[in-house]
Parts: sequence; structure tokens; C-alpha cells
Amino acid sequence: MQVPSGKQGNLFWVPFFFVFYKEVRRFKSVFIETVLGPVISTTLYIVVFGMAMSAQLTSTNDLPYIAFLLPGLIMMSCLNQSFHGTTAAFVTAKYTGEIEDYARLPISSNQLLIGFILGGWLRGMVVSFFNLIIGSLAYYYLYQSWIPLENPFLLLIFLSLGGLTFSCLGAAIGIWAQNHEHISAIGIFILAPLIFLGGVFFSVENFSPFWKAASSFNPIFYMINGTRYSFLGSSDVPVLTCMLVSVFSVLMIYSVAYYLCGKVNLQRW
Amino acid sequence: MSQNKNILEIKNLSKSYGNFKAVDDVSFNIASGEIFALLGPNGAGKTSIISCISGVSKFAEGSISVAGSDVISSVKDAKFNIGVVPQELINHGFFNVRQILEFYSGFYAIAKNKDRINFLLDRLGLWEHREKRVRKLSGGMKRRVLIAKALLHKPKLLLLDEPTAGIDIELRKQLWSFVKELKSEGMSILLTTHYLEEAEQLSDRLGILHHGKLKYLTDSNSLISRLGKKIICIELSEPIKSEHPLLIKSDGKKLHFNLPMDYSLGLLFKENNIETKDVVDIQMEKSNLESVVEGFLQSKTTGGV
Ligand SMILES: Nc1ncnc2c1ncn2[C@@H]1O[C@H](COP(=O)(O)OP(=O)(O)OP(=O)(O)O)[C@@H](O)[C@H]1O
Ligand SMILES: [Mg+2]
Repeated sequence: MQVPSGKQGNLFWVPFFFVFYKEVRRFKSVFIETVLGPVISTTLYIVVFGMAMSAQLTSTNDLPYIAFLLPGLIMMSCLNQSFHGTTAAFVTAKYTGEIEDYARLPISSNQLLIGFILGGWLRGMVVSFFNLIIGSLAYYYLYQSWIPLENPFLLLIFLSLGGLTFSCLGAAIGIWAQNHEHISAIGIFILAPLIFLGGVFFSVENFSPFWKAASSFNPIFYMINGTRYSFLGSSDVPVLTCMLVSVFSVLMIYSVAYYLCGKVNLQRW
Repeated sequence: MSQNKNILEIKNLSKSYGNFKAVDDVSFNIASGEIFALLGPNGAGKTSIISCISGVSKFAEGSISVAGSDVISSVKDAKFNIGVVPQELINHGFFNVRQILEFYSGFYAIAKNKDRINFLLDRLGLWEHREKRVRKLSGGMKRRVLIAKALLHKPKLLLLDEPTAGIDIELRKQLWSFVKELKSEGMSILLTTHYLEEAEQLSDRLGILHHGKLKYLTDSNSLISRLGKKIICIELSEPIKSEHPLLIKSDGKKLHFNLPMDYSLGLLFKENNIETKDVVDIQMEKSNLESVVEGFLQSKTTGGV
């Protein structure tokens, strides 16, 4: 006599939860690469750019340069990690053959995508949390005062919107990519320029008129400014604009990912 | 649900890759508790049919329903009733066997499935490997994991695409009895295989697929006994001259015969006036499924279907 299977729960939410949960367990099992690594690289940025250059530079509000830099660094790391979270999820699934399983399972594109995207988002948030702690400690060590954090709630919102945008983007790229090179090419030719020109290290006010105009088409510019506003209470553009652009980016890129999910043949590499 | 209700119904299924037609106007049904074996040479289209049933491949023509749900219009309902053991192995990079079975139970909406998981680990000989990463298992072990994954939710229809490829004889026998047990509990099974013995042991009915066309639907035993052959080599101490119609090769002392499966050896000895005391050695080779299928396809083409 065979042992029966357990009781089925909600046919939508239970499978969805397990897609997300498996994804979280995956990046947790490589904690050193997914969390520790990015935190170390943020620390390096703080040491090299922040501490070394703070001596020569001051930013707006007469705060030290590092107060300007840190929000940008935290957002940059959050975007990168969310992006890598979902691309890695799809790359792993394509590499192991699991991607073919998902087609056989009673899991829809929305369940799979949102599960993976929330996994990438969470990875970005966890990394951001550690970056915030390390950055604040470094700031305190240098100036014996805490970095101003005007609006923690707004910070959470902006990090989330940025993280979601980039985990959607990671999903789209992960679905579309036919090999590892596709993904690193996107990182080098598209993401890095967008992030660096988004005003992480310098206010775009210092850019030439051409680059200033170009920045206004860069969604990352708005995300970084929103984050900076959450800390300092001031930024280059109104915070509401930052918010709207960020929400719009999430929706746009999710639609692209969803479209690709139905269009591309999800086969193993 | 009435007893003679078909769990799987395939009507006029055609599947093309570009201009190449891999499955061509195939129709068949599988009843509740029935095992159907799909045979055919490499590239015949077996896996393509399984992919269409399991919702992996889209198809332009025909219809498939599983337990009454159309696999296109009610894809989720259909998928909850199907378990698939794919032909190709899957690695699952980061997780061990037990974790994977827990996740996959969750994918079938079963949050707590410990008893069933333990039962499957035990029956599939995976118990002592349960804490090992799937990636590190041998090929045969990985295939057992595939089988366990397909049975977590006790599907009504099980699709087995060459389930015993790379599995040792011992476990193959165990698996056969396990499959029979699944059948006795009412599960319907579609099986593809290249082993004659497997089709013979397990299936109630079988179909032969050739260039995407389903050529023959029959009950398993009749086909094998009708088309199966055994090759016998008899070595004698004294040479004899034989003109037996089934003799295929002879050098006087070593005689090769090609016999139907049910041909008696006693009769053969009598027909050739062979005395038992003169027999040094007998070797027998039963024909495999490939040659049965091959023979069948040849007889059909020469006979003009
Ligand atoms: N994704 C694909 N794209 C193009 N052609 C394909 C694809 N998958 C299968 N084919 C072709 O379709 C035909 C049927 O393949 P299929 O895998 O269904 O055969 P099979 O009967 O399962 O063979 P085997 O016994 O080797 O597993 C083959 O000629 C194969 O080359
Ligand atoms: Mg096949």
C-alpha cells in the first residue's frame, strides 16, 4: 500500500511561495558571494573615494563628501545585487536544466517571474542593510557623528523600487540570454555606464550640459537622487519625480520580462 | 469518474519544428490504470509527444486532454494531474535530494509532504543519499530522483521517458514492481523504452512510432510473440548436414538458427536429427526490441501498408 501525498493548499500561493523560498535558500547557500562580497566592495569604495577624497571635497549643505557619496554607493550596490540575483537565478536554472522543470510544473509565468524577482529584491535589500551599517560606522569613525538619515521610510521605498526595477531587468536579461557572455556584455556596456553616469560619485550639476541632458533620460539618476533625498533631505530633482520614474520603470521592465517569458523558448544551455 | 474513462486522450496530434514534422497525426487513449508503451527508433518522436502532453511544447494541430482537462486551455488543471520523468537528467546545483523533494512538493501546492517523501526515498533506494547534493549523485541515482519528483503529488497520469536508461539491473527489477504497484493503485502510465523486456513486463498495450507516425497499436504480448525472434547457435562434436529452412549459417559443427520466440528446441533437434549426446554447447540470443520493431517496420513497408 502506498503512502498518500500531503494535503494540497492554495493552488496559486503555495507554489508561488516555494518559488520565492527556493530562490532565497539558493542565495543564502552562497552567502559569501552574494552578501559578503558586495559589502566588501562597498567598503573599498568608502575607503578609497570617501575617506581619501573627503579631505579635498565638501558637498552641498556643507556636509562632507562621504555624506553625498554613501547614499549613491548603497543604491548602486542594491541595483547591482538585485540584477545579479535574478540573472543568477535564471542562469542556474538554465545551467542545471531546472528551467525545463518549470515548464512542466503547474507554475505560471507570473508566479515564476514574481517569485524570482522578489528573491532578487530581497538579496538587494539584505546587501543594502549591511552596506548601511558599514557606511554609517565609517562615517562615525571619521566625523564622530552619525550620517543624517532624514527619512528612513522613504529610503526603504527607494531601495525597494530600485531593487525591483533591477531584479525585473535581471529577469528579462536572464530569460533572453543564450550564454554567460550575453549577461556580462549587458553588465559592461549598459549597466555600468548607466550607473556611473547616474550621479553616484558626483552631482550631475558638475556635468557638461550634454551629459546633464542625457542623465535626465537615465532612470538610475532618479533612483539615486531619491535615495540621496531620503538621507540628506535635498537632491537635484524633486522627490516626487524620482518616485514616479521609479514606479514607471518597475512596471515597464516587468512587462518586458513577462513578454520575453512567453516568447523565448526556455531551454537549458 | 466512471471506470472506463480515459485519463489521456490524444486526437490527431501533429508537432513541427520549423518545417520538420516530428509528430504526424497521432491519436491514442490511455484508460485509467493502464500502462501504454511507446516504442520506436531514436528520433521517432516519442519525447516530442511527451513534451506536448506535459505542456512543455506548443503544438499547432490536434488536441490532448488529461483527466478531462485540455492541456492548452486548462493547462494548470492538466499539469496538477501529470507527473513527468524526463529523458534528460537535471542537476539542481545547490540542494540535496530531500530539499529538492520538499521544494517540488511545494510547487504542487503541498506544503507538508514528509510521509510521502520518506516513502519515495525508501522505495527508490535513495534513503541513504537523501542528504547528498543532487549534483554529486551518479547518473542512475539522479534518474531515481527524477522519478521521485514525478510522484510527489500522486498524479493520475505518469509520463516515463526512458525511465530505466542507466539504471542497474537490480533497481530496474525493483522499479518494474514499483510501477506495477502504481498501476494497481489506479495510476495511468505512458512509458517509452528501448528495452523489449521492459515493454513486455509492464505494458498492457503498445504503439510503435516511426518518423512521427503511429504505426501499430496492439496488446504487448501478441506483438512480441508474433515478431520476436531468438537466434540459437548449437555446437556439435560431430559435423552434420542440415537443410532446415530456419538455418541461417553452418560450418557443419556450428549451426545458427533464427527461430520464432515460441519455437521448441526439442522439435528443432528432432527435425535436424541431432542427438543430445553430440551437443557440446548451446548459445541463445533473444532479439531485442529494436530488432522486433525493425522487423515489424520492414514487414509493413514491404507488405505495403
Ligand atoms: N527542439 C527541437 N528542435 C528541432 N528539432 C527537434 C527538437 N526536438 C526534437 N527534434 C527532432 O524531432 C525528432 C523527434 O525527436 P524526439 O526527441 O521526439 O525523438 P525520440 O523518439 O524521443 O528519440 P530518442 O529515442 O532518441 O529519445 C528528431 O528528428 C529530432 O531531431
Ligand atoms: Mg526521446
